[in-house]
Amino acid sequence: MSGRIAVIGGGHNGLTAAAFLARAGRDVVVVEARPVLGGLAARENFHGEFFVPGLLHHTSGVRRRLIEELDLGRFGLTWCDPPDVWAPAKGGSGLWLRGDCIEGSLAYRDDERFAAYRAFIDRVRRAVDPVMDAPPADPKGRLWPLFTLGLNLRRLGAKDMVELLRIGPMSTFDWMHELFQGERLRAALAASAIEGTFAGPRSPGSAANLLIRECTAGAEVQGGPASLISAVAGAARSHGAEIRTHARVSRITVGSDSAVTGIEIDGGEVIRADIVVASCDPKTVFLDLIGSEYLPARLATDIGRIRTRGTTAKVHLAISGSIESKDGEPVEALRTGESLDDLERAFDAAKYGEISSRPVLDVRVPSLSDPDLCPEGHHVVSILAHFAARDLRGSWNDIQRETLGRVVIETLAEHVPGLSERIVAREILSPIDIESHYGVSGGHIYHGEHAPDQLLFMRPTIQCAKYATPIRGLFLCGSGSHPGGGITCGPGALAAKTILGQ
Amino acid sequence: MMKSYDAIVIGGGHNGLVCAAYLAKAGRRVLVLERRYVLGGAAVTEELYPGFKYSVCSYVVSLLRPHIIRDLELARHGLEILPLECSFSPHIDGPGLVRWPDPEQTRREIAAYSQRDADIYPLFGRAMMQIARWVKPIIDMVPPDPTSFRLGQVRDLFHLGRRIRDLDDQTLARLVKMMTMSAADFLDEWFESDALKAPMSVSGIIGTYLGVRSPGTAYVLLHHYMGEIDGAFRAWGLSRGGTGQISLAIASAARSLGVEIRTEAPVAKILIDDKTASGVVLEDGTEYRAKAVVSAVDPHRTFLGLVGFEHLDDDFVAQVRRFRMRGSSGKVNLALDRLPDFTCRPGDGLHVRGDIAVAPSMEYLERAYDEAKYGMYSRRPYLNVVIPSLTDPSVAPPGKHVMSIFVQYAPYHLADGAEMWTDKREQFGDTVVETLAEYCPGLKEAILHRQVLTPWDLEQEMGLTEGNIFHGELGLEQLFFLRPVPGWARYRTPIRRLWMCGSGTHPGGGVMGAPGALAAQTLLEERAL
Amino acid sequence: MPLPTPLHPRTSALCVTYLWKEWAGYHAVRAYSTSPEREYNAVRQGAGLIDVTPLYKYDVTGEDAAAFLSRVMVRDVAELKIGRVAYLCWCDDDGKVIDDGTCARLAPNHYRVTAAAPAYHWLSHNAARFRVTIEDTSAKLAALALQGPMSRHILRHVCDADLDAVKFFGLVETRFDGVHGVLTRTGYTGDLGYELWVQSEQALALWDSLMMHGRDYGLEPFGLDTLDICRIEAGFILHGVDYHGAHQALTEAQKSTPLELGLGWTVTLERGPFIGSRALAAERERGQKWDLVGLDIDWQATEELYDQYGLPPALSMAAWRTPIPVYRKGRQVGRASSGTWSPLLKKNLALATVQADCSAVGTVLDIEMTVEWERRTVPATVVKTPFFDPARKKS
Repeated sequence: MSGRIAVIGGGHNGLTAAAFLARAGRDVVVVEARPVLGGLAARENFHGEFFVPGLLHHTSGVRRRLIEELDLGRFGLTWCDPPDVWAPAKGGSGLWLRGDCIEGSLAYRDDERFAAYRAFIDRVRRAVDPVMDAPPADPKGRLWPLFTLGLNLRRLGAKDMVELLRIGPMSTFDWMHELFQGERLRAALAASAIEGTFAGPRSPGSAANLLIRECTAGAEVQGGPASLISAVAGAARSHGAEIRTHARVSRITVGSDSAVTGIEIDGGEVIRADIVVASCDPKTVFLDLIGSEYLPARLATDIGRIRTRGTTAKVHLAISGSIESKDGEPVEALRTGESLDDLERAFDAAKYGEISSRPVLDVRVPSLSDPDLCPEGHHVVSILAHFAARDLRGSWNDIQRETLGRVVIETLAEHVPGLSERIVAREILSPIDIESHYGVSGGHIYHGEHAPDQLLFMRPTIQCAKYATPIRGLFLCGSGSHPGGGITCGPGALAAKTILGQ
Repeated sequence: MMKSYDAIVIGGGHNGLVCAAYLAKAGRRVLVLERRYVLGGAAVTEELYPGFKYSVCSYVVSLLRPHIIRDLELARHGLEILPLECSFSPHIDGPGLVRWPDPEQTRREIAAYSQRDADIYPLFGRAMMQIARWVKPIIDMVPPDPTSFRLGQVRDLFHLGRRIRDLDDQTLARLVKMMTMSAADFLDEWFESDALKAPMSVSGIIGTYLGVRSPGTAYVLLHHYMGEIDGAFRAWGLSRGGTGQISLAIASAARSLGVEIRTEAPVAKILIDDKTASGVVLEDGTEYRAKAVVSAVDPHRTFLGLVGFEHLDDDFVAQVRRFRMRGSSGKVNLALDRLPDFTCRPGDGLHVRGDIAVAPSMEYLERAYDEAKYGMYSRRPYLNVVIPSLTDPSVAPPGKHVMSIFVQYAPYHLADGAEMWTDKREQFGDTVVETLAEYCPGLKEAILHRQVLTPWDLEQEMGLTEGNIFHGELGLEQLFFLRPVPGWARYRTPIRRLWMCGSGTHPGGGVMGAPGALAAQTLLEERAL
Repeated sequence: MPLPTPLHPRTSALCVTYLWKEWAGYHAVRAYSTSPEREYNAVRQGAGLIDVTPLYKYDVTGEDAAAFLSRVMVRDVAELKIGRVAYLCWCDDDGKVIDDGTCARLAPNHYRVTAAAPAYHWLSHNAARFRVTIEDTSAKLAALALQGPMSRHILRHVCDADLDAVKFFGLVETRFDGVHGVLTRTGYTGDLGYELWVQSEQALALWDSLMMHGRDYGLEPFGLDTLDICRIEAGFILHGVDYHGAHQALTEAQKSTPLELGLGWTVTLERGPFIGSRALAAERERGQKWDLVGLDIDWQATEELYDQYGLPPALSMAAWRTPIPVYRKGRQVGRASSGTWSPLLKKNLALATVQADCSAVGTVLDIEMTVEWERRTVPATVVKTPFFDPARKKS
């Protein structure tokens, strides 16, 4: 097969797939609904001369090894170390997580324990990391990938292997309690376990999320998500891919033999293609873009069952001055939530369709390393706030949005004195806003919750986990596929490799 | 006084007795030592108020392995399981929901809430049965250690892997979902009606320190369906004469096989020389020697109490310590002057002869859990009520009734400390009675006697550490080859000649008898005595 | 506890045998008399009346009703004319039959589907993106089947429709003695016959009217035992007996495709995709594995077999539905799933599922027969179904 390939969605995954396919000499066209490229990683102007480099703001999860072939350095990509993270505490100065080191007032022997934890992560990374760089091993599929997986596990040695299997189903709460004495440290680490999930630290299985997060964290992209996008888009273009914006796909057309024939753009334009690669979320692909007559009933059921309960809100602040820790150190990354119970209570609200009264904040100040994002003497603050239910009891309106903005700012202001007075402008995006701006089902930033039954060979469903779908010629390449959500470029790269391998 | 045995079993609960009986059946000389004055451990019947026999803790027979009933001829020794085939979930407003033994009647009940759910309910049962069929052999196998290179264990693992590969896509997906999802999410995939989902979901949380929205609670739903393929009709039921009758029947079978059983014989220490167990010493100083000591007591008590740190390496002690056994449930037993009416379905009928679940909605259940998470018993708890005297008149005087109320959540670790339970016991009892009285207004006036058991009481009286009724939480990380400690899941311990056979070992808690039977099988196969 | 149907006051008064059975959660009469011949003869010679209210009934309405049902059903019901009924089945993605039933088109955007098993969830599940309303009318509508050569004569007294215009599998909305309802020329007996659909509250009046006017034509109420004999003579399969619906089956092997059930003729593949179409097209290409056939069990051989034991042939007058192995040259090639002695044809008949290479008409197979607790076989010949096919059925 060597006909035209249409890629739906110009986010990091769509562009990555396009770049790989174009590089292999395929005729590729990327269509992006919005005026800008990047999707959740797009640079956004939220006020005057203030920009954020992406709705998602971490790039440490990018599968560097997978996209090496694209030689993105040629297109302006440079890597840097992730910033130190401040975990403030109300009473004292909190903790600083600086890579493998930790600073601040620690409980008895927690420094040793932290070192042991980091060492454990370093060891098990050898088994976990490769899983993210290959299509998911399928227990019913070919034996070789399974064997490799088993071998990688076994190579960890009996103790670490059993420990890894034991921790997988645990709750972060239990794991952190086993590991550390200090509550602030436990909470600081646990915060990343619950992002993009419908879980609190006490939910079993959340430890696996944390483990994966820790094992896959690497270098960041200098300049954040927006720089990544411009590099990948540059690579795609240089290999001849055509990239169109302002082109919203209304339909994937399917022929009578249940094979795709192309896509239709809003306004009626038809683009013929033998292969359609969709980076939008699986629910949108199958329930909105494919005619129901082509959808096997079981697939419709399984797709409908994908859990996409958005719980993440985004707040952008334009402030005068910067954010500093209690010791006066400028802060580029910050995590709130002082105890595991703080995190748990924040999640409780989501279960009942509410907005947390004290959400857990994942804060970045991107302008600290990229001053172009705002006027001098100012900074932009990018805040991912957990949890605010997308399916709010009584539905989202301006009052609810205001409430959300208020609790987020109040929570941050607990650690940043005088914050409210320094705010020049703000933008509040509820999960509903994220859904409508970015076209992600349920407003879910990861195109589907990260849960054991929605990962690996079950992501997004067991029939579509290897990027190919029951509709001939239709492939998935978005966050809804393995290795999942966040800015990783992984699904895009793996989908492209799958297509090229066929 | 010194007597010598092939094996000494510590703890005369159902698992200890099953293990003893199987060993005796194989011709071994076995002694069982029970701390309390009655046998049965948590499966015990006591007459705490004249004429009323309470199934004090465990109150239904769920998964008692049918092969144990057959092997030990328990029917001949007085075990009779009475049906418990109806599920009633009362509501304060509206008719509530009854799931009847008659499928069409159940269909109509559910259809009042959702036509779709009514159609799907039997299909769900069939899907579950297929998965249960797959899981069942795992319950009856000694867990292989994935790190082991021993032939038998590698073969077992290989066999497990092949069984997974033999599954079709749909069943495999369901199995993964079942094992990892929350009961709430799993049921959401099938059903839309809260009135149906709530009482279905509770089987996933019984005895756990988890809520219906906590991942990992879905797979316990399977247990309900496991009974149907178990070769024993009425695998769910009441034991005639109370749950204690199960223990008495096993004890009787054990005695007839030659087992010696002593009650009021609390073990103080396991005698250990050079990392080898040689017997036990009772609190009164009596010593017994045996080729093997088998502990039916939970892992915490066994290792941190009866063995002692001095005989164990630090790493093992740390692993036993982190074996989580937070109790989360309590029990209220009532002697009733008359049968109170449920407002939504007054009068006697099949619906009150089954299990009655106060679980009106998912949110109700989850909120009950949220309170427990932060160290408070639920102000409106989930209740599982059984009135055994309606089915088994032998447990109460004519016209009077015994009501058994299982209560969740009652966390062992209260925010102000577990000891505070002694102050809060009666207050907790009141909450339970008041909750039930909202559905059953005449309840309070009918009460002749009330027994309240908090997790603290379960620990102090029954010897269940932290009041955990399963001898250890049933999370995936504490099951199969990880139960109770990785590398020690095959009933063996780091102390030579000391073995485990309680619910703290595979396959876990409930009145199954499987750990006891599998432990005995292992001991015999390994020629330990 | 089964419920009474709206006709229970009448049927229970007549059912002096107390022979009842549960049908879809309702009490249904098995037989009004201990000797079934009278009821059977009424159906084949005069007319019989049976309460078929327990059938599952669904009304599908809305502008996409035709498109939706064509997507779910193996037959292109968009092509079905108004005032016509189609017999059909519906399948899952793998082309395995979920259930069989009828689909009637009452108006351009109004269909009525009957089913043997609950189908609401399947219909509503697949309706996600269609503008349709699906209503379970099972309890709302009562249904009476008036079957037999005299049925048309009786109806002339009861309803004002032009009966000659109601062709085989035709439908008309009409009034029965003033009661509004729907008349379809359908049934499960393979004879001339009609089914009458009215609101439940009006069922008793309809029964009374039919019974009164039917008296002169030999009308008798009949029960499920007789229905079972008639439907086997007519070669009709029964869900849960002759095949397992895909939703009820526990294994893949228990499921069947329309082709395997002899329902290939109901499948229209030459149109847009529908649920199961890909699998069915593939099967049509490579041929099916099984075939549902009619068996005529050799009477002579049966007599001789019994004779060996010094017995006359002892056959039950009632239809049976316990599966029995079928062999060819000593090797098992399938199973007979139901059968009956045909009082009219004087033949011992069975419906059987056999391997496709043994299904040609005229093939002689062997069917197990137990005489005096010994398992023996007698020859059975594959014959065309329906076994009984009177011209009046369609005239």
